[in-house]
Amino acid sequence: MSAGLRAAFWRTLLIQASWGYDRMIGIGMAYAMRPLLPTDPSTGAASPDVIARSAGFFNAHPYLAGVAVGALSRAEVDGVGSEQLARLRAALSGPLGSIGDRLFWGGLLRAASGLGLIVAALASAPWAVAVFLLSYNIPHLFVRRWAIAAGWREGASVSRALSGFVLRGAVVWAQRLAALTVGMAVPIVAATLLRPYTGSLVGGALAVALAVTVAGRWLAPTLGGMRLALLAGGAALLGGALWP
Amino acid sequence: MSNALALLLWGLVVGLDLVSIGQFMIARPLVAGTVAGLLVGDPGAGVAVGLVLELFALDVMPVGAVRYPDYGLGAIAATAVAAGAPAELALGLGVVLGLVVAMAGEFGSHLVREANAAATMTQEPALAAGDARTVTRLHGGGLLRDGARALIVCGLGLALAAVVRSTALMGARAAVLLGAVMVGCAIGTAATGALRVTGRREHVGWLAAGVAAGLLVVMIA
Repeated sequence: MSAGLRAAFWRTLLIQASWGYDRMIGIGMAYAMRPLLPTDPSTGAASPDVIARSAGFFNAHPYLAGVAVGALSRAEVDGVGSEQLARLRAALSGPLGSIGDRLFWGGLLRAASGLGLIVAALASAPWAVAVFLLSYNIPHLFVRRWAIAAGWREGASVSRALSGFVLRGAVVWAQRLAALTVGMAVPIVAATLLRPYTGSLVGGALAVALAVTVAGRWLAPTLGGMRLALLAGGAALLGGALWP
Repeated sequence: MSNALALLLWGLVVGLDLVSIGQFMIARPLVAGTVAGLLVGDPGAGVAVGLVLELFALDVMPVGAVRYPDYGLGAIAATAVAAGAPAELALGLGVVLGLVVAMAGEFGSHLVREANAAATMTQEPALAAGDARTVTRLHGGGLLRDGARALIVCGLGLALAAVVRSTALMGARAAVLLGAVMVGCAIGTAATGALRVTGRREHVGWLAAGVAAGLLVVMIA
C-alpha cells in the first residue's frame, strides 16, 4: 500500500463522521479521497473542480465505501470525464450499500453477536467480548483494506471486483452463520437469564417473549422490540408503584 | 465521582464508535456493558445488562438513513443502576433505564444528522467552489457534534441512574416481576430479529439447526 492509499484507508474509518440527511456520506467521501486526488503541481493542492465533485451526495455501506473512494480517485487521476465520473458515482452507491448491509449488518455482525452471547452465557464475559470483537473485526478490517485497494486498482472498471464469486459467496455464508449462531444463542441466553427466576415468573417471561415475537414480527413490525418493551416496562412500573 | 467520570469517558468512546469512528462494534451492549461493569467494580452487573440489551440489539438493522437506538450508551446507564445491587432486584429497572437512554441516543443521532445537513447547506457556495478546508471543517464539525451527543446522552443516563438508585420506585416483588418482563421482552425481540433477517426461506434450516443445538446445550448444561 502506498502512503496515499494508507492515508485514505485511515480516513475511511471516519467516513461517516459528517453524515447528514442531504449528502449522506458525501462530505466524508471528499475527506477520505483527498490523499489520493491528483494535485496541481504549481499549488500542490487538488483542483477545486475535483474537490467539489468528490463532496456530492453519496451513500454506501461504510466498510465498502472504500471501493468508491479508491475507484473514484483513480478515475480522477486517469482523467475520466466528469459525466462518466458522475455515472460511476451513482452506479456504485446502490450495490455498495446492498452488499455491505447483507454481508455485515445481516450476516457477520449477527453471527459474531450470537457467538459472543453463547460464550458469555457458557463461559466468561471477558472471553465473550474478545471472541465477539475479534471474530467481527478481523474480517471487517480485511474487507475495508481490500475495498480501498480494489477500488484503486480497478478504477472505473471496479464493478468487476464487486461481481466476484467470493464476495457473493461470503454474503450467503455470513447469513447462514448468523442464522445458526443466533438460533443457538437465544435458548442458551434465555436459560441463563431466567435461571434466577422460579415457577410462574419463568412461564410469564416466556409468555411475554412469545407475545413480543408475534407483535414484533407480524402485528406491529414497525414498532420494534424496544418500544414494545418500554410499553411493557411502563405497565410493570405502574403496577409496581401500586403493588406494595 | 471517579467512577462517573470513567463511565462518561467510556460513553464518549462508545458513542463515537456507533457511527462516526470505525464502527468496531465497541458500541454493542455486550462490550459496553461488560467494560462498564469492570469500571464500576461489578462485572456481573455489566454482563447481565449487556446480555439483555444485546438481545434487543439483534433486532436492529442500521441500513441507509434509518435511525436506531444507541444500546451502548443504554448499557452504560443500565450498569450504573444495577452495579452493587442484587441482580434480581436491579436488572429490570436497569434495563428500562437502558432502553430510555438508548432511545435518547437515537433522537440525539437524528439531531446531529440534521445539524450536519444544516451546516453543509450554509457552506454550499464554498463546497461548490471546491474549497478543501471547508470539507475538513464540516467533517470535524460532525465529529464534534457526535462526541457532544455521546457525552450529553451518557451524562443524562448517569444522572437518571443516580436518581433511580436513590429512590425506592417499587417493592422487591414488583422489581423482580419487572426483571422477568424485561428478560421476556429481550428474548422476544431477539427472536423477532432472527426471524426478520435470517429466517427467510433459504436460511430457515440454519436457524432451526441453531435453535435445536441451543436447546440441546441447555438440556446438557
